[in-house]
Amino acid sequence: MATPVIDSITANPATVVPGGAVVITMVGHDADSAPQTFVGTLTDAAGHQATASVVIPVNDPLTFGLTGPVGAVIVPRAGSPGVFDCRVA
Amino acid sequence: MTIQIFTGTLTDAAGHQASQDVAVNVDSLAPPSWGPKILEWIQPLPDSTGAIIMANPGDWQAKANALLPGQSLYLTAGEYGARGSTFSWTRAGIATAPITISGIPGDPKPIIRGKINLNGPYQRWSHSIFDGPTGPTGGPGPNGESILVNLQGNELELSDCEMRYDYWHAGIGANAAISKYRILNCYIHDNGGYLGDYTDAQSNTSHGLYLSPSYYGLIANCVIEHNDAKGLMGRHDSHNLMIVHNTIVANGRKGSEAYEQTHDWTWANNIFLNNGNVKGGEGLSMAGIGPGFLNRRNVFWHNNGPSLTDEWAGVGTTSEPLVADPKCVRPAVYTPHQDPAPDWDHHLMSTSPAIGYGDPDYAMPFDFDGKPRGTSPDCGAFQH
Repeated sequence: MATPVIDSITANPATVVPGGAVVITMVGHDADSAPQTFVGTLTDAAGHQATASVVIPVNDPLTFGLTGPVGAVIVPRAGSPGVFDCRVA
Repeated sequence: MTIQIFTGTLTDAAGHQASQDVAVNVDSLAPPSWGPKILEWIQPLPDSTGAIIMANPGDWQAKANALLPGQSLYLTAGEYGARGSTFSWTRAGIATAPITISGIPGDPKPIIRGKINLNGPYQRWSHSIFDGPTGPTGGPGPNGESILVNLQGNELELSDCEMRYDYWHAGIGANAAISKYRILNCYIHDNGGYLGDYTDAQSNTSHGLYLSPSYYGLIANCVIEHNDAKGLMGRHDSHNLMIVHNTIVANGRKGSEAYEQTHDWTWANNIFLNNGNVKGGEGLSMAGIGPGFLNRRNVFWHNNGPSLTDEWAGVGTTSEPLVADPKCVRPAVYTPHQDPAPDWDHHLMSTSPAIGYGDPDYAMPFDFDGKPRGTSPDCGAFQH
C-alpha cells in the first residue's frame, strides 16, 4: 500500500487577527484507489443483448488530522472530513 | 505580523501517512474578515482600484457600459433614469478587477429611477437610492410595473443602497440561476402592493427581496422593513444562501421564508421583529424541502399574529434562538400601505439582549453604519 496523497490544504481567511477564526480544509485521496467495473447484461429470447456498467471506487479508509501551534484551537467539523474550525493562538 | 503553521495529516488503514503544512498570517492590524462560516460559501468582491470616471444624468448609461475592469463610475448627486425606462448594465468586470457604479462617497446618494438590470459578472453598485415605482417597464404587474433591481448575472454586489416603493413583486429580485451575489448594508423598505396598497392581490407575493433560482448569496447588515408580504422570500431551488446580521421588521406576511425546493440556507445573527402581525406568518419560515436549513442565534420577538407565538417554523435546525424583545430604539410596526416617510430607528438600546448574542463564526466585521463589530457581535444590522 502506498502513502495517501494530500491534494491541497488551505486556510480561509489566510490572514487573521490574534485569536481569530480560520477554517482549514484538506483534500486528499488514496494512492491505491482501484476502481472496479461491473458490467450487467440483459438478454432476450432471441439473444439480443444490452449491457450497462457501473464503476465502484475501492479506497482505503482515510483519516484526516491537523495539528497547530500551542494555544491554537482545532475542532474537526462533524460530518465534513478534512474540514477543521480553528482559532489561531 | 507572525506566521503560525498548521500541519495536516492524511493516514490510511495501514498507517501510511502524508503530511503538509499551511501558514496562517496573524496580524493585529489585519482588516477583520467575514466570519469563517460565511467564507465557506462566498468571498468578498475585491475593490475596484482603477480609474474613477465622473458621470451625470445625461451620460451615465453610456459610460457605465464602457467601463474597463477595475474602473469606477461615480454619479454626482441627482436623479438618474426615469420611470418607465429600463437600464441594463451589461459591461463585465473580472475576478481581480470588478467594475463599480456608485454615488460619490460622503455625498448625498443619487436617486435612480426605472428598472435596473445587473447582468454581471463582477459588478458592484453602491451608495445609491433605487426609487420606485418602476413605471411601465414590461410587467408583470399592472401598468407594466416590475421589480426595481434585478440581479441577472454572476458575481454581483449591491452595497450601501436603498430600495424603496416598488409596486410589484420586490425591491430586489434574483433569478436566472445566478451565482455569487452579495447584498450588503442596504435599506430595503416599503416595497410591494400596486399603488402602495398592501391589501391588494400582491398581499402575499410582493416582498423586499424575492430570490428565485439563485445560488451562493449573502444578504448581510441590511434593514428589511415594512414590505408588503415577506421581507426576504426565496423559492424554486435557491440554495446556499447566507442571511446574517439583518434587522427584519414589520413585514406583512413573514420576515423570511425559504419555500419549494430551496435548501441549504443559514439565518444567523438576525433580528426578526413584528413580522406577520396582520396577515399571519412566522418571523422565519423554513418551508422548503431542505436539507441544510440552519436557524442560528437569531433574536425573535412579536412575530405572527394575533397569538404572536410562532416565531419560527419548518424543517431546519434551530440552534440557540433567543425569544426576547431586542429593544430597538423606535421599532417599525406594520401598516397596510407604503410609508412615504418612515421614521423608525432600529439601533439597539443599551439594555438590548441582542447585544453580544451573535455567533462570531457568522459575523460581519462592520455593521450597517460601518461600526466595527469586534469579537462580540450583536444581532441585527446595528452594533451597539
